[in-house]
Amino acid sequence: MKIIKIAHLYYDLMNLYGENGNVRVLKKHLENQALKVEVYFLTVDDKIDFEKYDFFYIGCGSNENFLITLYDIKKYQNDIKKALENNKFFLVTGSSLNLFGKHFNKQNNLEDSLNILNFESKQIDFRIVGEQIFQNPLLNNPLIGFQNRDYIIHNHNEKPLFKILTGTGSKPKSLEEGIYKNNFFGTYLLGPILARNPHFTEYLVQKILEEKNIPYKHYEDQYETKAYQEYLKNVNN
Amino acid sequence: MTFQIIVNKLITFVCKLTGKNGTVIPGTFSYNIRQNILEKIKYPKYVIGVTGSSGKGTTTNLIAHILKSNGYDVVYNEFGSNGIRGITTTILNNCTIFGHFKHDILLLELDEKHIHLAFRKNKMTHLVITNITRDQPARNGSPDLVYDAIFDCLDGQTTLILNADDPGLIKAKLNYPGKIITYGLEKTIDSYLEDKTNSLDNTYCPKCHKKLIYKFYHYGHLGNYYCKNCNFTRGKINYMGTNIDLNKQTMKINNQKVTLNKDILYEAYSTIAAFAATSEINIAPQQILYALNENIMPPKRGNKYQVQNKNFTLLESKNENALSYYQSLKYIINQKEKKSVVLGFDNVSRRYKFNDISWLWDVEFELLNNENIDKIFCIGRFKYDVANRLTYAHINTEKIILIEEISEILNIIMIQTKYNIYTMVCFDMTAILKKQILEANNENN
Repeated sequence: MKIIKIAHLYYDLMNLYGENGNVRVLKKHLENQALKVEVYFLTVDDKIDFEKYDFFYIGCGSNENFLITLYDIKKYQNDIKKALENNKFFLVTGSSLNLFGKHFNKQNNLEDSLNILNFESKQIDFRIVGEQIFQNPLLNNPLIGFQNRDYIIHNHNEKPLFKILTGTGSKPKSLEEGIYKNNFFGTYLLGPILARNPHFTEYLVQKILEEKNIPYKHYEDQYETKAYQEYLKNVNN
Repeated sequence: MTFQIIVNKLITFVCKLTGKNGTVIPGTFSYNIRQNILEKIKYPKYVIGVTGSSGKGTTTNLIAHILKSNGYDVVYNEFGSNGIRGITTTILNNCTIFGHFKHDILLLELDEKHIHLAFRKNKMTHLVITNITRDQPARNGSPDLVYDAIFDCLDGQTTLILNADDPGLIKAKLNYPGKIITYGLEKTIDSYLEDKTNSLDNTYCPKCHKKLIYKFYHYGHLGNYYCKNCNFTRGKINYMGTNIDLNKQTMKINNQKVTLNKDILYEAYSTIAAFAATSEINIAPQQILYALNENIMPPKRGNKYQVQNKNFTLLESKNENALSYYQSLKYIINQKEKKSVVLGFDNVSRRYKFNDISWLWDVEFELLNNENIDKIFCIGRFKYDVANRLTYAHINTEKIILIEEISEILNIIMIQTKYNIYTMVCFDMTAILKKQILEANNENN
């Protein structure tokens, strides 16, 4: 049996919005494909070997926890860059997206970030809060989620992950959101987006299987699709 | 000022005449006329605030009970209107028209984000902070922002009474210039050594940013912690709760036995916080003990019902507050009988229109994976999300029943389970259930 190794990075710092849900959902959906899945919870002071894992997840954290994470993750700059170039999977939600740009401007203090992706982000003096509906051409159906943040992306030179149907882009008035490169999926949407978007989970599972040359078998989930449809039905009414 | 006080009193009078809840509307008018109205008030010797993410209402009520039991002249916002408009109503209604507060003690339950609006210039003499955890993030942001909001107007003149079991609060010791008094709880039989949720706040040392080590957890990030790197700890605790026995509803505070109003741990926190606050304004221990052990506060009524020999216990769980849900879950599981549970909500909040459901994954629903649980009924607009979360807690799907038709909730529950019912739904669903229970009982009579 093939083994998929998931690394939940900074699970105890970047965990503000039930982010553990993403890893649990992904694990279950991969197991439904008759794969063995191992989840590793890794954080500050662990020695992280980026070659060892297939899939990396980082969630959203408070401003304080973001900085603790930033100071720790920077030592892996080269390893992460290599992993991304080698098509390892990264799902990055909420404020952790700011780790990957050139720098993060926090109240006029410029914090160097990983400088792996070509964008800059900064803290703003108001919060962007609300329900979001986004579109991605790779997915047949829109993606639903939530944002609650006081930071934006500006000056970016990467492909966006989503087009905005309802909600706010990477910065106000932008119609695009997130960063997409190789198998890096980064968005300011927070929380368990995989639990709420079974079609996105299915897409990721298919891609993971593709990398491993394993055929994908479609299956029906019990409640996730129904919850997703119910949400869209209520939003549209 | 006189004009505003008269307006406040007049509107309160009109509210009462017309049967309206007059705890917020008068203050809204007075506050809107002049926002710095509270700066003009001549306050009494003691102004005690109580704030925090959870437990502030219970703690305020207990402090008020101790003071009233001993004949002190205290005024407080007993209906829980804890925002700036509710506070303004309470304060102005208890002033002379010249702005002199008429009673000996002002006690206020305070919204964390509104403290600075009321006490920018005049300072409270004491402020109890119960805990700071993730709570209503669409309004509050993250716990560190709540901490900043509370401390924004505190300059050292106020004596802080802090829960030492919360490392995110005890960081105040690093830079608060004023007096800090602390309370905490020793290990109980429910304490645990390892967190399984991966969703705790403040588990890194506020001083050196290394991971804190816990000797035990009570719930959430509350417990006995220390930093191996810089020796940051709970420190010397002024009021220590020991020998906590929830079955007998007793504990000891600094070696004196006290009675707890409820068999749940947050009651121990509220009781010790009230003990600390009243001690700090020089109420004698025997007076406090009299109020807690002899002149016991009557329990809140209205959460137990019966329909055809089936008991219903209606527990309120605050959405977007995983620890509030934890308390309800823990209470249900601690009841030894076999039972069924009702979960769900139509709206996440009554304060704003945003419906974020991320927090469902912070709640330890795994506790419901218990042989004494018969059925779990999922109701409301987000029932599929709730049911989905339950499957990830490895709860057998045969136990999960989704109720589509809102008007049939009670009928379906009555048919599908023969056991007593515990509901832990939010305010909107509690109202619907109560109505159906009352209607059923009217029909049966």
